[in-house]
Amino acid sequence: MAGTVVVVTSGKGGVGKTTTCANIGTGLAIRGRRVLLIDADIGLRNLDVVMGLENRIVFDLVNVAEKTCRVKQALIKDKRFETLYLLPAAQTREKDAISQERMIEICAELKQEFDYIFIDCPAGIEQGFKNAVAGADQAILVTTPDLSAVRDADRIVGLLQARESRIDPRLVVNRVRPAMVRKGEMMAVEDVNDILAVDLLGIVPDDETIITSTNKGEPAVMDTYSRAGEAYRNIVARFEGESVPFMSLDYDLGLFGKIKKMIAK
Amino acid sequence: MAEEKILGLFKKSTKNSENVVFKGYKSGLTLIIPENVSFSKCLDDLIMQLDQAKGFFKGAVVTLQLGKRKLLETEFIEISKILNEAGLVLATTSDHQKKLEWHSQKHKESIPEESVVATVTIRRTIRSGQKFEYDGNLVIMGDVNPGAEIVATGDIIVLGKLRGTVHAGAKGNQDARIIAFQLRPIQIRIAGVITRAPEWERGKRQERPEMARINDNQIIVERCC
Repeated sequence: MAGTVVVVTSGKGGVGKTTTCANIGTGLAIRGRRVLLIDADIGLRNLDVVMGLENRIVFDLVNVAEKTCRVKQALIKDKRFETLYLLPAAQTREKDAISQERMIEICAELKQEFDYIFIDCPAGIEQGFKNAVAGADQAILVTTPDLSAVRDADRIVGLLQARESRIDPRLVVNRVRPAMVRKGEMMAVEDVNDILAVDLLGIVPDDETIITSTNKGEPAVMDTYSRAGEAYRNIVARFEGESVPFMSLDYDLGLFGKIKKMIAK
Repeated sequence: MAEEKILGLFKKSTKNSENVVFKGYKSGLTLIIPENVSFSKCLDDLIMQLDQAKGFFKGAVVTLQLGKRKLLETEFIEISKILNEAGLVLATTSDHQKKLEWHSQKHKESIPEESVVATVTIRRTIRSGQKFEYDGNLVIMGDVNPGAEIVATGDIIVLGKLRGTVHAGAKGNQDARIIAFQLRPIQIRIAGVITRAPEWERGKRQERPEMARINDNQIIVERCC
């Protein structure tokens, strides 16, 4: 049975597309799914670093698109999980090195081999975005609780829904800081989705361990002690159709704070 | 000379009040439409007569004589179309105008004139980067998100949350109004007047429908419904 192609996109840069892509992909591989991560951010590749696989790259997506190598040759097997693969982007080329048609062809070919293909989309709405979205069946929309990120995400929703085969993306709200939300200094997840009005797939709290795990090339989803890791594991479960409650964001209140909140209720 | 000829041509039919009749006067050609015959029959008759005349009337200006008959706007257009096809031009007579006026007078109470403006309904949310322009009134069944732009020459009604940029009365209609279930736009324009949401109101939620309109060359927002 053919797999599903999921594009991870955001519009705005730096909101956590690559991290989300790596974590959901790895989370699904932990569950034994055959997963391929495609880095479509040509010229600014990152996914290989986040996955800790940058020293194994020989061929890349542009080589595959230009048919200078076979698709299988460019796939890099993950060092931890048997069923996880990466198709890296070219670092020395530009976004127009591949076309939407080639992207659709490559996705269709690889769909036969994998359960899920995640495409890490570049920021922006230009050629790179169009390429990344071309072959997708589903979309995960990543945003942070900032007005600018939400507005860009809204633009993406509009573009995805206006597509010939309409995609209704599912939302991941990244880097939520509960303390700031409580003080009214940050948009709450409800405020974000009040504007976007799409399916909520998950909420990821802002977590310093993400920075270290990203630098180490070990996705946080593998870390059982990480808050963000737990959030990503929940996202993976929801992605597979399980009903998991959204985790409480009250963990940083402390005992005193929790009592205060109870009294306030 | 020509007038006599025409008279001769249709002498027979003139006597018959059941038929459509062309009459030549000094001022030009007059088309007499019988009072007691159905409109469609009149049209058929007219087409037949024009066919028989074989382009004889080409270029003539025709005035209508309706008697007690009252023509609808659409019927008037139909006659005009048929005449045009045969190369004739229909002149609007005072007689005809009176009839039309009478007609609109009759309906004035039920349909106010301004509401006759074309209205279009959009059944979805307008998102950031999307723009909608319409020559008429706009009804949006959905939200207008920040970064979206809505422009209409008439009124704008949003059955949802209005958080983008809106411009009503874009061609200068000072009477245009903007109504929304939740009116929180980035910027409102009506005709040539521009205003923006006050900073201190940002994020404050107004959970009731509001209306924006021009008063004293300023946009005011007031509770409505």
